Amino acid sequence: MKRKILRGLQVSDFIHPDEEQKKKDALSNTTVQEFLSSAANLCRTAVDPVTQGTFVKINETSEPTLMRIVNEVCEILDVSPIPDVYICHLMYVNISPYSSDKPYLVVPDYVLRYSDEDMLYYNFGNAVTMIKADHVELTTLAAYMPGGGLIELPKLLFTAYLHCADSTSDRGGLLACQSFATSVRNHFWELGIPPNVSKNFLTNDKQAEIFVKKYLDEQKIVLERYNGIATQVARKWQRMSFLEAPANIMLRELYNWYLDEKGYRAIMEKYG
Amino acid sequence: MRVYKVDDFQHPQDSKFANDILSSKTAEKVLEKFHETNLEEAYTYLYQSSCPQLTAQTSPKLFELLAKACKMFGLEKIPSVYVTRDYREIVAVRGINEPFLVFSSEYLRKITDDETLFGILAGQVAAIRCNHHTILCITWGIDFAAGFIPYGSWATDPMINNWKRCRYFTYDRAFSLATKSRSLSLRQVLINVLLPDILNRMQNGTSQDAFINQVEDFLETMNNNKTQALIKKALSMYSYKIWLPERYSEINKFFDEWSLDNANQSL
Repeated sequence: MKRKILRGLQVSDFIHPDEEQKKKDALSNTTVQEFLSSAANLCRTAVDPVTQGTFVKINETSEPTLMRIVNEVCEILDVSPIPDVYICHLMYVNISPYSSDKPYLVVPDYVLRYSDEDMLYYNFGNAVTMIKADHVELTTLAAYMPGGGLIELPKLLFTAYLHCADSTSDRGGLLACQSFATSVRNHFWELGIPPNVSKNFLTNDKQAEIFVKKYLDEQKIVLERYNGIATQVARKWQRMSFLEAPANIMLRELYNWYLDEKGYRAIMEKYG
Repeated sequence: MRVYKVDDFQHPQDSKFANDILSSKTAEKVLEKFHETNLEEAYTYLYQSSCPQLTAQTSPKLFELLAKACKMFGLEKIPSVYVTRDYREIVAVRGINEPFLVFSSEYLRKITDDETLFGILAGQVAAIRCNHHTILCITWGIDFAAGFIPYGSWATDPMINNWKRCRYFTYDRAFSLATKSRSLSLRQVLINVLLPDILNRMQNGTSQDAFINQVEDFLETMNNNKTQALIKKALSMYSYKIWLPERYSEINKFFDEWSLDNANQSL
């Protein structure tokens, strides 16, 4: 598939409209800023030995296909320098960027085994966008922050921001792979549908649009049906405390942006 | 065929930490409890009731190589072999009086050649010869008991994790002695992280080795950067992360010390 190079693409072209405000809200207090900055520094120092000692760095010789995709994704999204890439042994479906002096990407071997090439464009696009949009310091911190009880509280400060940032990086993934069907297949993989299954019923963008609309309508019915006080509290707690926003909400965000005339299509026209 | 003694392949650090654990009073108590309460039977039952067993009929090549590894490393009784579905786990020795092997089906799938399989089986046979199965049971018992005391594991974790990490040096030595191939011995360190086609392009142990720079950088950083070294030490105490560059470096040292490259006794 031939993809358009979006030379000159700016984060401001596709950033989630609430992201900047949520970041400002999270970092408005100087004490919070200092706390997060120190924690992020500590985290960055702590992550490096794990990466160097337990992951394996790849290059153009050891993994030419993957490095070609990373290079192309960076070219499409106008990102430089090209980040280093490490592989780890993990049953996880997302490629993650990590904060360091120079941010790098960590690819679970599970992704390599089960993704097809188009899906890798989305997954790398998502991760590279996090570097481009300067999300990485806080996402690395959030990923490594210990959890449980009161220790959870500092995380609450910035989960609202993280959910918006997630939405921005999903948009980056779509811009990199330039296929709504592929983006949706990645989302559904997170929800449990294996890539070799989804490729049978999400073969093109139109099909994916119809399928997602149906899925979101069903979700709406579920939300309306289960609306007791306990469910409402649980839903709010999920929004407040989970690092990842609920999958149906993330998919709705992406779907709306894909259909929006000022969204995905406008960018493809502007840079294409 | 030369029969190797434990001293030939047990890494000194594995030996030291294993002795520390075995000589502790807690270990003695845990073993006593295992015998008193017949926990060994329960421990064995958990695996044998839920994991399919491989036999010489279903896996003739594996058992042929296992028999050869047992002979080479001085183990009289060929252990039973089970498979389990676990993405993280690779292969482990379990049981106390009658040790057996448990392979992760994911890991088994990644072993695509007989020589590597032979080396890995040799590593597990060597583990049994070094009593790793008993120590693993003891550490399981200590972990279980420490869970009842607030912060109990903080005291026991460093000793246990150090051993859990160093036992891999022993497996690697046995693999090296069994295969006499530096390239395969280094390659198997990365076998669980990389897909086979990437692994083939890493050219481990050659002048084009794609992992060696990372090994050298890691070791240099740990020697020269005090903060990073401290963090690694803390991580080593409270997790049993296996530092791949250290395994890699230990294998290279072992090959140089034993001049194994020219031994020419491969399978």
